[in-house]
Amino acid sequence: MSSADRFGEAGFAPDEGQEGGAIYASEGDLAVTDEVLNDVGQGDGALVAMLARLQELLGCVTPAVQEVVARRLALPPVAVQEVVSFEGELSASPRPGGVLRLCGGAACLASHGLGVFEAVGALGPAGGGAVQIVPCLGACWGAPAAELGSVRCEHLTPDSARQLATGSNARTGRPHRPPLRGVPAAAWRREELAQIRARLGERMGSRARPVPGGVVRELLVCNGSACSRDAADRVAEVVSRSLAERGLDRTVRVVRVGCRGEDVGAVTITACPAGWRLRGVDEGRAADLVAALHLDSASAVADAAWPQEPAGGAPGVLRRCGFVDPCSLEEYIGSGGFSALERVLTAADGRAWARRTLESCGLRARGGEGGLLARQLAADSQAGGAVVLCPCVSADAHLPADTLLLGGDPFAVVEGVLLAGLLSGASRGIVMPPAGAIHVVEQMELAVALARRRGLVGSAVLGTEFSFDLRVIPTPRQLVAADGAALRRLVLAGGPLKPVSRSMAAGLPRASIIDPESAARLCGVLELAVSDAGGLEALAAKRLVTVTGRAVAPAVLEVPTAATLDHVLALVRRRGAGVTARVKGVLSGGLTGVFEAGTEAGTSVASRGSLLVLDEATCVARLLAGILETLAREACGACAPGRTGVRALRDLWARVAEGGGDDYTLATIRETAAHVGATARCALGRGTAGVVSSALAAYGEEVAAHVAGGRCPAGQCGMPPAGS
Amino acid sequence: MPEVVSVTVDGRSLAARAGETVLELLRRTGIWVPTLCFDQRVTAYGGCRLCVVSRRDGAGGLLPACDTEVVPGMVLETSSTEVLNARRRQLALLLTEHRLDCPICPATGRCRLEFLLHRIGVPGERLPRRTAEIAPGVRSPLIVHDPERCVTCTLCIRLCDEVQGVAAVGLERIGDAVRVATFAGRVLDCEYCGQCVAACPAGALLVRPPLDSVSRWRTGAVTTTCSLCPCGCQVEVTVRDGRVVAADARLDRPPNRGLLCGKGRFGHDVLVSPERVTTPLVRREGRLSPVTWEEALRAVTDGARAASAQGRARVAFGTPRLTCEDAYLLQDLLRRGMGSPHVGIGLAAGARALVEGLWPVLGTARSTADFEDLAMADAVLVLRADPTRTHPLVKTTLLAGMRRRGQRVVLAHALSGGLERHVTDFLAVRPLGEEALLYGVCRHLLTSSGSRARNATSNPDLQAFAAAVAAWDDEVVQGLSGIGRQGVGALARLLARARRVVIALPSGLGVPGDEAAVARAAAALIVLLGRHGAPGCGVLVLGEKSNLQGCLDVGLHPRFLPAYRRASAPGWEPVEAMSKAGEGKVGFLYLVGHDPLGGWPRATHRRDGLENAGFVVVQDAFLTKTTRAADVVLPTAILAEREGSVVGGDGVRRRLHAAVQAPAGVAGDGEIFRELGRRLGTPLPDRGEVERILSGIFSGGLPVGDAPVLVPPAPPPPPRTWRGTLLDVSPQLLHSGSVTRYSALLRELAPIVAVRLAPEDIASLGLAPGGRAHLTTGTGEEMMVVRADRTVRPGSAVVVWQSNAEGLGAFLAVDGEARLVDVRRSK
Repeated sequence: MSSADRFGEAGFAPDEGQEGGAIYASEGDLAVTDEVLNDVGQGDGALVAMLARLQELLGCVTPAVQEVVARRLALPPVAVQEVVSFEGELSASPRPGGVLRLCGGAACLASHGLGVFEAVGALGPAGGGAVQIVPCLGACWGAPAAELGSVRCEHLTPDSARQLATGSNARTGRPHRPPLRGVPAAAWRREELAQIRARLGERMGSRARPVPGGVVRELLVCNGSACSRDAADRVAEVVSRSLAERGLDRTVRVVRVGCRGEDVGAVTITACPAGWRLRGVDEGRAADLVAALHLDSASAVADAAWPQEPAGGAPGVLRRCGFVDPCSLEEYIGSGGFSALERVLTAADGRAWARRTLESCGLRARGGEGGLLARQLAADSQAGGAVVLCPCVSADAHLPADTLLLGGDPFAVVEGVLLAGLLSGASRGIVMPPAGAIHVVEQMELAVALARRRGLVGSAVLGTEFSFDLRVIPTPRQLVAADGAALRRLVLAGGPLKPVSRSMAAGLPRASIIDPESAARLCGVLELAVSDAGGLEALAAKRLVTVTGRAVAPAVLEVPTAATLDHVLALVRRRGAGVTARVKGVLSGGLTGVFEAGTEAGTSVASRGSLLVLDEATCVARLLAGILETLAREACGACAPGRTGVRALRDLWARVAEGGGDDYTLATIRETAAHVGATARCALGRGTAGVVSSALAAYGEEVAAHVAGGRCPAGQCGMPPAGS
Repeated sequence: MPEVVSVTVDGRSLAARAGETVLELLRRTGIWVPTLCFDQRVTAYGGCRLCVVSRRDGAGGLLPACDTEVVPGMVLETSSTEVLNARRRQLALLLTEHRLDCPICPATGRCRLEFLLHRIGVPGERLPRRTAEIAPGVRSPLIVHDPERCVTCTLCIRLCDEVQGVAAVGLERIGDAVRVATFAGRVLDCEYCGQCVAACPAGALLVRPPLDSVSRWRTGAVTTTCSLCPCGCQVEVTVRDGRVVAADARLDRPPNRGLLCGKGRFGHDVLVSPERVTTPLVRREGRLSPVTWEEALRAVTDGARAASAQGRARVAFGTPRLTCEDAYLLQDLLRRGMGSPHVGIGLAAGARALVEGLWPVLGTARSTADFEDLAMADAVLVLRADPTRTHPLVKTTLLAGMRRRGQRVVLAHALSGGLERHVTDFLAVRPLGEEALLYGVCRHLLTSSGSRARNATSNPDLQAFAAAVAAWDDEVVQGLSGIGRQGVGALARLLARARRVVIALPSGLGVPGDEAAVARAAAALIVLLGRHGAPGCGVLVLGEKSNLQGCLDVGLHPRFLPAYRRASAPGWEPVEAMSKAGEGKVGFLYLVGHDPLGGWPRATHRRDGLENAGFVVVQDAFLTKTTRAADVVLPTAILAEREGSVVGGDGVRRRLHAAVQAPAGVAGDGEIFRELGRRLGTPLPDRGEVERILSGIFSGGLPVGDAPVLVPPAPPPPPRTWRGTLLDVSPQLLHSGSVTRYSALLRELAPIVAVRLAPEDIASLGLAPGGRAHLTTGTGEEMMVVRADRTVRPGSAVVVWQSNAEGLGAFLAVDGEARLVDVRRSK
């Protein structure tokens, strides 16, 4: 097309009746909008919260609604539009029939080798329409996974994915229940906390100390916070009903607990105090279990597992997960919760004691590179940070672990954020569970509402002068490297979750940032210190790692920071007969991680957050093609290397994965990756460079086979495998 | 003195200022660094990564120079192979999303990407191009958007938000689909300042042909002063084949430093308007007929001689758009050539504020603050009109002050104010309440203990002033201005605490209220604050037309000779003169660039004024309403066709340089005056002589006003009450109605004439947005479209005028009066 053509009447026609908005909002939409705006108010995170609620209630955030929101928050309408069009969870126009959101995380890409994506045509240009690729759903054990509405679908096959995408297999999920409104209730004082501890201590203790061969008094049914909520709900219902039918409901209690991390992906029932555990329970087995208990309350089911370690014995951040009801503030207090907050608030030297304790045990923020958490908080306090942000972001590959923690022990995060606020001098906190993970959001909202109801959050906490307001605002599920400035902009300045320049960040309000795991660990360390139990250093020096892959049992493990790959693999190697493929290496750190060949790597892996174990049948070239696809879609587009470089890498690598490249292509990829790594603004660009160059370094031969001989050693790419 | 830190650059030790960026240091040192997304006027974005330098002192790596602060002991390399390769590769990557149609691209020759490609080159490897199709996100009647050339530097977005305060465009979407877009894909709704087009480094934003359709290397450029408003912007006019094809501004030229408004950038098609008069006209048998210059000038001199012979007055009004030189000649022509004292600038907004406001108090009829003072001030009080529409440079200066320096800007405004959403403090004064607010502040300063004003007893007029101001007590001030004791006190404290204070009085003919009284009060306040004459302080009066100040300086005023020497026999003021004309006492009326029938308040002249004048000469570039009553019409040169000088609202004299020639048959104002002088037997000074005289005036010849007199205010009037809707007739941003309305482009961009009302008023008056309303004032009536506007205060109606100057005259108020309008649904 010539320039003159473009200049000519390039389809320019002024809008008819543009005044007041070409697109009128219906009266109903505006009424809903007004209500949400009044409900959410102004304050921190108002824009994210408003948009999320409006999307949920109206199904989309139309320009007319965006304008109303913009006016209320005194933002330019284009700023609101930027957020709506940037965030995958939000849409500006109605999406008929719901959108199938396919997980583009590394684990999902590895386990289906892109077959699912291709089946639903999501790899077309720009990925618009009814199928979207989202960075990571935090459901690596169910890979490949997708979401339809609020229903998560796991272990997809190309066929089932196609059915979902075409709507022939659509189910609608339960809508998000709005958080509890402030129900007036008496605030608890210290004496009441002590009473609760005395009353519940024994019961909580009995869950942690199994009595082999003992009778079953409690059945701990997992609540599905790490797998299928629906399946867990159905199993729990069957158990309760069967117990009632058999008159056992007076002697056997059913408690819903979070996931303990070892059994992710399966509904689990633990018998207390007998101590055995049943994995992969469905409705039928649940009924059988109750029938067996009816006959003999001290017998164990035939295939029950006996945990090697005493349950809840090791003082990790997951110690309450799987043992304590995450919806019960009393159980949390009964198991030692809020003792740390109580000590810090009421003792004369509380804050100094907490700082000393944290410094002496060497607790660092996640990632390992950071300084001591206590010093960081003290520095924030000096700088006058008024807000504590506790985000779960997809970028850091910690999402599965954080999700599990928020779903299994939300009060520990609440208490951790309160403590962080005390130490950093903040008066407000925001917990940011991943948007769309409705059960996690609700769990957090409930926890905060319960804590507020009992005076543990809000003004005059525990009758002291300390006041701390805590809000729950779901974080957009973006892969972008959500650094501090991006989070501050999102929550405190009403912008999209994009990294910003230093100059722009300088104009943003200050905040302290602590991830959920570190918050829970901070709380755990101080709790241990209060009870004088020892082991503070051990707890401080552990990290949660998610391990997935076809050759291993998926798990979220708490391992020492120094744990090496073989150490971790030893804990999770799948003993089943079905998987015989040899492990050839790992991708650690998720989409922006590092490929490593072999399993004898001596370096510590715990800080990388996730390990995807690669077996012989996984084609690295194809996996990386998928990873780059996700990365190119998710790059925020702000810095040029991140936008143009990552896209160029994707396009170049796609050529390689199809057997179409040559050595020159590989050289260009190397150069471009090095350039992006050296100049990109944020961790997404740098991580892209890392994942590409580590793949070339660790699996150079495998890639070369694609390029030189048009062969795929893993036999995945539709090309002849090596040697054939 | 800023702290100095030592850094090493390319092996050289340099002294850097603490807190400055690496780029600032390198530029200061003269080390060239390529930049694409950087612009000194906006926050650094660090997006293009072309300005990378490498850091070699431990914390190694490539860093963007624009977004990295200097650190003591930093060791940098700016031209190592690593750095140069990174820049080349980045440029190559950027080019993968830029459509390379350079041979036919109008941006060729001024395209930043092209320049960088020449300067730093790209590596040899071929990179895959962006394949995703990206639809244009900016639709506009004027600006052409080509997203396939866009490299997402966001300069347009940042300038629109940070400099203009408009935020009409933003980013949309994610990843490589990211693009620049307007809200909801609507037609660009903005001030059309064109900053985005000027800043676009890749030709993705261009102006629709015929503007901007020619590559810059095939054109010539002339820098001149924009003479559309008193901001005095320096504009670089691009000319091809004798026609203006574009206008731009340079970053290093004050006062606008790269900024222009829509009028200054796009209004130049006025010059080639088909409606221009290109030949003199003389009325014959009731009709204006084209004649030669000889015939026309003879008719004019005959008319003047006849008036003189009849003993009837000769009167001339020169528009404040005349250059200083031409204005000098006009007053000389009248005073010497025709022997008449009745010469002036006619009815012009801001004139009375200067002459009757500042002069009595400060002893000077010039603003005592300029744009630099405005930029430097710690606190600015803005009264009267709306600078976002009338004086775009004032708005951008204040915006920069607020956003970058934490300047406090208080807007006290009665009607709608576009500045309202930007300012740090807003006072909703009642209409006509400005004077009361100012004297309220004065009184507060005089009565509060410890204030400087109270202690300044050395000033002899202070006691009389204090006694008069005492009458403006809290109750009176509240009644008149609507601002209570607390608000007045807070404003007084803010102004008293600020080290540098500017009071800005932008004006407009349609703004209700006595501009002279407000200016007097403002001048008194500045004196009382002890800030008169201090750097960064003063009163800034801004009229509507480009050379109001210069015209007064050179004596185009019935009471002042050049350099404000008192005229021994003062001439008639404009209203008086029109009234005399109505009585038949004027034999010769010479209207240079004035259109009393169209643009003056109808109440200021009797309808028969022009009819009863003996001989009427209209000198203008277009046929106006007044030419209906003219005996002779003389066509003149305008804007970029003129040479000479104008004095901006800030008191600075700036040169005009003719960029194009006036159409054949059109003469310059000065040429005509000289020719008339010669024919009347009084040759006027030649060009060199005029320049000598003006140099004398402008270099030290003007009264400086170093002995201010606190003129006691008159007793406060009784509180005013209104029943009905208050009318604000305002010029609108894109053209003010006299010259710019002949620009086809601006006319297209400007919103249609409408009455703007607060949404709640629309409902209560039973109107509907988009419907028609019938507006009636005491002097006229009009039908207009109704628009809802949230910036309009309930109880008032804003008519932003456009081309129907006839209606405008009916709606304009005489000074000191508020206009009420009756708005009804039209049947």
